[in-house]
Amino acid sequence: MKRIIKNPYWGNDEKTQVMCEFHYEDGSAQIAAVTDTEEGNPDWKEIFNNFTSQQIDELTDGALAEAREEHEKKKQMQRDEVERMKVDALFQAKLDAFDIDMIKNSKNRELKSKIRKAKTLIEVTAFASALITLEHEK
Amino acid sequence: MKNNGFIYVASKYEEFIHAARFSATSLKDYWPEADITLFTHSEWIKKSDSNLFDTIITKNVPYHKRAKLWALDKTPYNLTCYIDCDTYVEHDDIKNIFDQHNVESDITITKARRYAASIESKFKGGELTDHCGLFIYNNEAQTLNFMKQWWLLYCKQDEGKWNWNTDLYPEYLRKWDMWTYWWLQNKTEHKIKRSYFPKPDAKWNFVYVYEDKELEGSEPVIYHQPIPRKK
Repeated sequence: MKRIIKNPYWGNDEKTQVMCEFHYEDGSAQIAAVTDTEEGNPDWKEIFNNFTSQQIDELTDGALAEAREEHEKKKQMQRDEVERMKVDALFQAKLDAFDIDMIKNSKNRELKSKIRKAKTLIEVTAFASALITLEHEK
Repeated sequence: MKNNGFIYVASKYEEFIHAARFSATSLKDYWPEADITLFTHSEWIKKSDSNLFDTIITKNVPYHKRAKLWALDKTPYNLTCYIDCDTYVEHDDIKNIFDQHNVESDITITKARRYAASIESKFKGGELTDHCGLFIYNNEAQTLNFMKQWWLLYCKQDEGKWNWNTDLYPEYLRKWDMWTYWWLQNKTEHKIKRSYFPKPDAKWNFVYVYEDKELEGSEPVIYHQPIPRKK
């Protein structure tokens, strides 16, 4: 089946391998890794009939930049997810603290405010404990 | 009918009743005399809720992600402050919230901040400018009608029974009640007169992703933070 080679880029630093797309006339496509052989690989020959080394260099730089961007995006998403989980955990801790009747019904507005504004789980625990201790002492 | 009061609506996911208690506790801490009505489901009520909420309504409250829209026209107050459950109060100025309402208008609301939105709020046909998480409204006939229409149209929107020109108004707007509100205010005869909270309006609805400069040196009165949802 006839096919066209598209988007070649270097598969290694030695530039002895080219990664490319084979697009077939039936609409299907596949990724191929092409290296030359002692006898001469016709696919390798076809690539260099259609593309110069410089073009492959440029396409490689583009592919690397895209891969780096994608990697950064994934890493950022993971960081955002970790941050969101921390924020969720902190707010859940505050909700849980205020589910305790002694805290909810306390008239100690200052400590209740400290719990609500707490920036860490430790702060929530510390202020909640302090409030409960004070309520017990009444 | 009572004069001024707050309504919370906790429906469908039980996290919301916990959040409503958290928020209402903070409201009472700063304003013990505040009158609060809770719309929720009877099976979620605890005995201690009657100490926190002055009125609890459970009859016919729908199990719906936007039950808040169903509740709005059923307010027991002349002047109502609707407040999302995922909020809390941290300032004595809460006692002045009803004074922020412009009596020449039907609804007083805070401005949405485009940079803080979950979606792109500007589109070819317009822009979502009003944040629907906290607002004050009167009980005039046109206002209660607007609230009823908001619920009815949102249901159609959510069920895919209301379709629009997606070239002007993108399909991603479908899940947002801010979109329904925008449509009613800009494209229908149901529109009501809107005013904004005086500047800095952000202090009355300080969303957790807002920049501090929005406060213009003021302290937030009401914080707005998403609650953790159980997976």
